[in-house]
Amino acid sequence: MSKRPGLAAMVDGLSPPRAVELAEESGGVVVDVRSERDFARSHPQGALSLRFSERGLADRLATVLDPATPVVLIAGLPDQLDAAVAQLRAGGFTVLGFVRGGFSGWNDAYLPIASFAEVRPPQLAEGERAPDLTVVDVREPMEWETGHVPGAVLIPLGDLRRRLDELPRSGPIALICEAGIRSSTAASILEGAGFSELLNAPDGTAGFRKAGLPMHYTRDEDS
Amino acid sequence: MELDVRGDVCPYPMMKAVQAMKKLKGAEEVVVITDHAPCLETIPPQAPRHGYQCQIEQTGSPEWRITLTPNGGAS
Repeated sequence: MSKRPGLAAMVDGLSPPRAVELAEESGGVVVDVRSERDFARSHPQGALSLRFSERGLADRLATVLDPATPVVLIAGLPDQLDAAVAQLRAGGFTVLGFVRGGFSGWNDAYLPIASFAEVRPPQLAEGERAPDLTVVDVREPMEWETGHVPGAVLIPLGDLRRRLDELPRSGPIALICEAGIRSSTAASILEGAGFSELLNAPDGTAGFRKAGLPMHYTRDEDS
Repeated sequence: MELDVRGDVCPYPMMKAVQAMKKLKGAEEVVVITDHAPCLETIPPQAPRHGYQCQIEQTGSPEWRITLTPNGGAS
């Protein structure tokens, strides 16, 4: 193990196999703070997607993970790694270390990887989408009420883990939020829960709206 | 009230703006400073639901000032 200068020398750089071992031993999870696009392309199998943000990272993680769960980080940029460690520790998470070499290191170690297909707004439109496609919107109810993809089901990200039994175990599932960040986290949760055929909608509801595709509103469904 | 939410991503900027509008109940304007472009889509539809109007000004790249003004002006 090695320390990185600049990281307040307080977190261990772990070889990818050691990172896996440590996460397993401690009941922890690998959290990948790279972008949702990079995550979709390829990521450590079973890792949780949590795109880095300068603020609110611990709150966002606490929405989907008990702060008692230890974390091993994987990042793209050293500065983001430093800031992520600081935020998560301040938010009460235990950061066991980070994967040395980031995702490249993981890949070079031939550890299991996975990827998500991405789905574009026209492929989600009513009448256009695959008949067996389930669309799950993971935004908050107040966002859903201001317009959503027709036929989607609302499961806010924070409720997803306890509502897994509402989702089909076969057939493709597309995850959508506003801008592709929360839906990437949602897709990673489903992957960890054994779902397959997962798709992320990186353009989000914003992309659907911008494409001028017809949306549904809560009042349409009430009437 | 000024909310500097630079660095925050969805859904927090919108949720913080809604929380402020609910708290102030039209007593004063709310100014949201953000560098997260999706807020330009999520905050405006919330304004009329809480009795506010919304104006957006680009102040940087990327940075925006979203001004939420109570309908009829601050009381």
